[in-house]
Amino acid sequence: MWALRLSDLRHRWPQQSLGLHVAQVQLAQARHLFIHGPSGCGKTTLLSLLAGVVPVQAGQCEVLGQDLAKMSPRQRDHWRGEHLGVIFQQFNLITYLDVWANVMLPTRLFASRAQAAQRHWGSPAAQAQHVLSALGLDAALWHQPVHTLSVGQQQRVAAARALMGHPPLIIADEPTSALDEGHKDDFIRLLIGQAQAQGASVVMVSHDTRLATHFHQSHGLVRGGAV
Amino acid sequence: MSWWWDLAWRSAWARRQALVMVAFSVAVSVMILLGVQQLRQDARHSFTQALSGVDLIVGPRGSASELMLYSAFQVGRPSRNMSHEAYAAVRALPQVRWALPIQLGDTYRGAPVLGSTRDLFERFQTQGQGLQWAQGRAFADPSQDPAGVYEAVLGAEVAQRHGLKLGDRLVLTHGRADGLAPEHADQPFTVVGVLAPSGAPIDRNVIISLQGFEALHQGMGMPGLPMLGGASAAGAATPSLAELAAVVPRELTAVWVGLHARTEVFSARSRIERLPQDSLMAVLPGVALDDLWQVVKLAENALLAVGGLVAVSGMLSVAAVLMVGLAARRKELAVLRALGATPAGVWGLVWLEALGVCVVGIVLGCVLHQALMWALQDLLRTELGIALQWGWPSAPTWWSLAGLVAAASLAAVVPALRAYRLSLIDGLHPPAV
Repeated sequence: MWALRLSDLRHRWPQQSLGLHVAQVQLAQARHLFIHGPSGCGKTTLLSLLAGVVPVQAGQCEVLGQDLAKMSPRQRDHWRGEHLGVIFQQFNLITYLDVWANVMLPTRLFASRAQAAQRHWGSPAAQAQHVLSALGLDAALWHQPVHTLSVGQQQRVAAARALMGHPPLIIADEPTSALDEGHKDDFIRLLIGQAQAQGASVVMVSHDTRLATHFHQSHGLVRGGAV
Repeated sequence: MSWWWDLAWRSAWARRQALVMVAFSVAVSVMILLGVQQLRQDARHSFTQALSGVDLIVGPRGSASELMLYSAFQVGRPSRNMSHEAYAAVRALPQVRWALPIQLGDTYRGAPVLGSTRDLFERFQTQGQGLQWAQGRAFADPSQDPAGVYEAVLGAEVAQRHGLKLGDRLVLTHGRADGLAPEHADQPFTVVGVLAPSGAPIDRNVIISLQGFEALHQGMGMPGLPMLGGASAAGAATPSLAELAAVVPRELTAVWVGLHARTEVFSARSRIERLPQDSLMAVLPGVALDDLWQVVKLAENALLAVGGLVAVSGMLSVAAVLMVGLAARRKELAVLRALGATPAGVWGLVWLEALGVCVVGIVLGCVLHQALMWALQDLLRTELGIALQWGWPSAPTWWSLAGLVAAASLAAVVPALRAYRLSLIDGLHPPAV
């Protein structure tokens, strides 16, 4: 089972001369991929392609065994909700929900994720308790409004949410860039540790090549160029 | 799927201050529209019901609306009068149950003086209700009690405006112009009764007997009758019955007629119009008022259009507020997309929210409208003569409510489309603001 199988994947935004080109990437399930490159090289575009937000223009883009080019935008959105965890650079959390409600969102919105949580933990709440604790978030924080948390804590809440309902693939876009130097490695270690425990793959993009050591595979994107 | 709606509700609740304000702006605009619509309907209804007990208005042949306006609303002035003999002939017709003579032309400090008989207080109906007494009694019938000649009854508004009470003396003016016309200073009338407010033009009348009216005119410049009702408050001389015989009215402004059966209205009308005593006209008040109403229809429609535009501007303000709010919600929308929301779903969330705010505003507007009408009902009745109709909204009101909801669902498309476009452009990456 492959988490990713990309070949000759190309993307070009309108009115931009340079595009994204990925020649060949294969990632086995439960392995982790690090993608690095300077800003503007299309890292974000690649993640949007993998998440099914941006339609495939040319080449092969197979994620979790699904050929995304053959799915409608609506199907891709639903597929993403069921099978992916997504972590942004910042502003991951919904401000009008508390920590707990944010973490519970994937299992509340998608029955398949609630069922997966139930299968492995007995209930979605049990998984949420486990994941939040494992990521070092004290129970006192669980019912706080999210704006009272530090940026580092918010990113860990986002990671907990991405892990809920056992999605096979977690996509993270520069999740550490807002964190202090000392906390970057801790965050990635915790994220990968939990993903590993669930059998999920993590695909992360960052310009910080130091972080590549946590991953099984690493690829570099060059500006307008190939992997 | 239900948690998406839960999320939409929590999101709206988090922004409730702005949404409540804009819902109130919709409510106020809806209240204006409904208010205009109800006043329009009820004004029309009240206008046609101003003389609800009268089946026919009889007057000298001429313009029906003119006769209607001056005899019922004291607007304008009669070009000529009808003879007293004709009144007697009308009263004698078999279809006629009662006939009230109406004499107009004098004023008391701007308030029209209405000359009639005691029957007026029994027969007169407005909005289907008879007259009520606030104080005192009707003037005495001068043909039995000569003292009745100089007794006057006041409409509620006249009494209130001039601070008059029972026993006060009035000096009536000849003609309409206030102050310029010669005053009947030698013939003070005494207030014997005050009517309760009815909303009809009679609230603005001073009501005296026909004989009193005639005495005013004959006394003026007629040296033969100077002693008729002395000027001194102490010993006001009452005319004798013999003297009163000399003041039988010769002319009348109009006659209000009640029939035994409304079905006879057309036969009675043709009988009246063929009477040999005078060349008369009999008008059905409802029909004449409908004709008049056509004239004001233009202004009425303009008012309604203004009400509609105000309501539309309320809806647009909802769209504008949500549009502005979307800029701050881009991060939230990106998170929702990451969690599996489709752009169409984002469209739906924003559309439902905008529609929901409008619908809350519309419902609130209905409540405000009812409350305002309830608070103003007495004022409207006494000041404008508009009797509000209570009960379920009428068909036109339902239609305008349906129109408002339709307008709201259209206005809601504007921010929803914007949200749809933003969620496509931003994807998982809103601009970091």
